[in-house]
This record gives sequence, structure tokens and C-alpha cells, in this order.
Amino acid sequence: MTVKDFEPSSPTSIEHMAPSQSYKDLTPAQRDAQSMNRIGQLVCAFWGPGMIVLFGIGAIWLSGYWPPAKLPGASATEVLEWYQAHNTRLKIGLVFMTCAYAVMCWYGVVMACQTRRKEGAFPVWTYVQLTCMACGTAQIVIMGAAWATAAFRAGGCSDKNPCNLVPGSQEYLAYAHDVQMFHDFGWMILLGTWMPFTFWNLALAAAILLDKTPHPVFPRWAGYFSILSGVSYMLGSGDWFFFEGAMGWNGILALYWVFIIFGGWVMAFAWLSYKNVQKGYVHTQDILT
Amino acid sequence: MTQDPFGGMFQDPFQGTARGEAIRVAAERDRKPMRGRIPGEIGIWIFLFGDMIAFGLIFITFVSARMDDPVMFEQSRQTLHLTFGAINTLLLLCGSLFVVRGIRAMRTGSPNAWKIFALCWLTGLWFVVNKFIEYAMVIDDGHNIGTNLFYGYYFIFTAAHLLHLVLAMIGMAVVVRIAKRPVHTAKDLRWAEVFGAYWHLVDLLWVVLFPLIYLMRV
Repeated sequence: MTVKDFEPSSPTSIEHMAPSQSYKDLTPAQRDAQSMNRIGQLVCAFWGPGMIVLFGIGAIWLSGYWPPAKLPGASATEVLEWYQAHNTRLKIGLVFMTCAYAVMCWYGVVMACQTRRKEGAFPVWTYVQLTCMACGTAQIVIMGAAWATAAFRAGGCSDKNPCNLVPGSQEYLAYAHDVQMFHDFGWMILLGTWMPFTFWNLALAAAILLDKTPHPVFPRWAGYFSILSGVSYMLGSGDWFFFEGAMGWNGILALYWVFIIFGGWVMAFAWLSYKNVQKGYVHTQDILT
Repeated sequence: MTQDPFGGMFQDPFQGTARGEAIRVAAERDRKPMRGRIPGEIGIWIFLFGDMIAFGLIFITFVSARMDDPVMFEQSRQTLHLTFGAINTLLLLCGSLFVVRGIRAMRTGSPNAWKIFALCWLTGLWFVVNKFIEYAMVIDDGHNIGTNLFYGYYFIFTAAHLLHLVLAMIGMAVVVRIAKRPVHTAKDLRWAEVFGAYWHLVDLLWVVLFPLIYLMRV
């Protein structure tokens, strides 16, 4: 490949759009040329709020993970009984929740696509966003599996793990301990592994704030907001150290502030990406080499 | 610009010189009107207010936890090393003073502005060193993040503040680099204001955090 392979199509070709041309002002042929990518970006932007809705259905309504029904200080028996009490409903909720975490990938891609427009042949900030987003998605999906393991074992019976355990017996406590361990594991991943998400936010902020051109991809305040949210996720680390209080996994700092600001960040950038696409900034690239 | 927005407070040392003319030309080229201007840019203020909300929650958390177990909190508080905290407060206040003087120097085109910002950076460095010595002393006394809720909050909240300070120092290093340029444009001044405002936030947070954790008795 040579530099010529990255050069834009000729100015008269269909793909070459004036940046401020709204979709409504395009000719049908131009619309067709843009349509696939535009639909893709709109779908991805939609999954921002979509992710929040799926999470609401799964974690808040069905499973009861958010707000946390079982506090860090709960005993193994309490945790086991909670899992057994609404086992099927919890597992269905987990499916929704894991879907919510997976569609985060869709959402992250649209912001990366937008910042890609400004970056040329080696879009480093875009790459960092995508790799951090992929890493974050992978780990959070495993979190869904961890809780599903706890739910599976709590509700399951097999010839090796009979259900007729006497409550209070050693076997029962060991069984409850196994379930609690995977329950804890899920929480450790959800809040404590904030690092990819923070780096994702900071890369996005860098792509916005270091842009010296007159028409940045996103408004500059969004870059600062992205730094704020990235730094805020760090409070999730309290989840690894505290069994109670505001820094435990049920705490206002480690859980609620982190989730509120993450939700705000998702909604803000989903909206900004949607506006960009509607304005016609779909695949016009300001820098190609 | 026909009116002096500072009412004659600042005497321009380069008035009438060739250097002064160069500064004026560069500044006028991309300057926005001073009246009604937000220092820095709107984005940094969004960041500051958001951070203040987060730290506000931290302060409320600490006070609420202390109300639950005042005896333990008071006993633990008395083991802290107040001298370090007091010196750190002084350092950050001096740092904020240097930020103000540095920005003033940049506005008048002084070539020494970068030295003032460098002094500010050094106060931050001293704070960081102090903090590590203090942590080492507290840990040597046998208290760590898991000892009780007071120490847990002490370590994690002061560490969160320390992280903010380290970021502020990175920002101040950028400002030193900007201030070293021979001619400052309005954009340079805005960057100085952005990082200066952030330094003031870090100072403000410590001014609340220090009495809250170190000084307030039940």
C-alpha cells in the first residue's frame, strides 16, 4: 500500500460530502452512498441509551443486583438464600445484563468512528478507545458469567451436588461459600476493574481537547466531561478494600456516583454522536494521510 | 479595547517598546473581549463542579461515618501527624498564590512568569513528598487502610486528593512550558487559566479535607 491508497476519492464523486450538509439536503444517490455507514452509526449511538434500558431491565428489575440486595458484609448463607429465592428470574435478568454490557461495544464504536475522522492514517486515540472498550467489555461480560455461575450452583442439583443439604451443616456452609465467592467475584470485576474504562474516557478526551482545528469532532466541554467521568470511575477501587460504608460495593461513592456519571457520559456522547451523524459528519475525513 | 478592565492596577513594563508592540500584536490577533469572559474555558468549569460534587459526597460520607462511631474516629484522629497536614496546607496556599502571580505576570508579558509557575510546581512536589513521609509514619505506627473505617477513609480520600494534585502538577508543568515562550497569545493565557483553575480546585479540596479529617473534634 502506498500513500495514494489513502487519498480521498475525487471531489466530484458521490462519497465526497461537504461537512455541513445535512442528510435531508442530499440527493438520493448521495444518500444511498452514505446510507450503510450512517445506519451503522445511528444504531451504535442508539445502543448507548439502549444499554441503559437493558441494564435497567436486567439488573434493577429482574435480578435485583442494582441497588445491591446483598451487602459486602452479608454472610454466605444469606447470599445463598438470596440466590435460591428468585433463581430463574435472576438468571433471566443476568442474560439482559450481559447483553447490556456487550452492546457497550456498539456504543463505543460510534465515538471512535467520529474521532477517527480527524486522525489520519494511524488513528492512535481511536485505537486506544477501541482496545480499552474491548477490554472493558470482555471483563464485564465475564462478570455476568461469574454471577451466573453463582446462580447456577445455588439453584442447581446434580448427582455430585445433591440439594438435600442440611442448613447449618459443614457441607451446606461450604456450598454457600462457593456461591458467595462467585458473587463477590462479580462485584470485584464490576467496580474494581475501572482501568480500561478510565483509559477509554481519557483517550476520548484527548482526541477532543488536543484537536486544534476550528471544527472539533465533539464540543470541548464534552472532552472535559469525559476526563471527569474517567477520573470518577477510580472511586470504584474502594470496592476491593471496604466491606461497609460509602466505598463498599453498595456505597454512594463506589457504586452510585460511578454509575450515575457513567450513565451521564453514555447519554451525552450518544446524543452528540447522533447530532453529528444528522449533521452529515458520517465518513468525511478531515485528515487522510 | 478602549477601557482598562483592571482599572489601572497593572503597569505595562513594555509600554512603548518593540517587545511590547510584538506582544500587543500577538495578543490582539486572537483575543476575545475581556468583559464577561469565563476564565479558561467552560469545559474546565464543568470538570471542576463535577469534581466538587464528588468530593462533596466524600465529605458527607466522612461526617456521616464519624457520627456513627465518634469515639473510634476521635481516637484514630489523635494518632495522625498534624504538622504534616498543616505544612501541606501552607504549601498549597502558597502554590495558589504563585498561580495568581504567574498568570498576572503572563498577562503583562513578563519573562519571569515561567519561574513563578515552576515555584508553584515545586510546592506541589514538596506536598507529595510530605504525603509519602506521612503515610510511611502512619503505617509504621501500625495503622493501614484496613485497620478501621477512619484509617480506610483517611488513606483513600487523601490518596484521591493526592492523585488530583499529581494531575495538577502535570498541568502546571505544561503551563511552565507555555510560559517559557517569548510571546504569549490569548490561547496561552487561557491554558494557564485552565490549569490554574484546576490547581485552585485542588487547593480548595485540601482546605476542606484537612480540617475535616485532621482537626475536627467530635
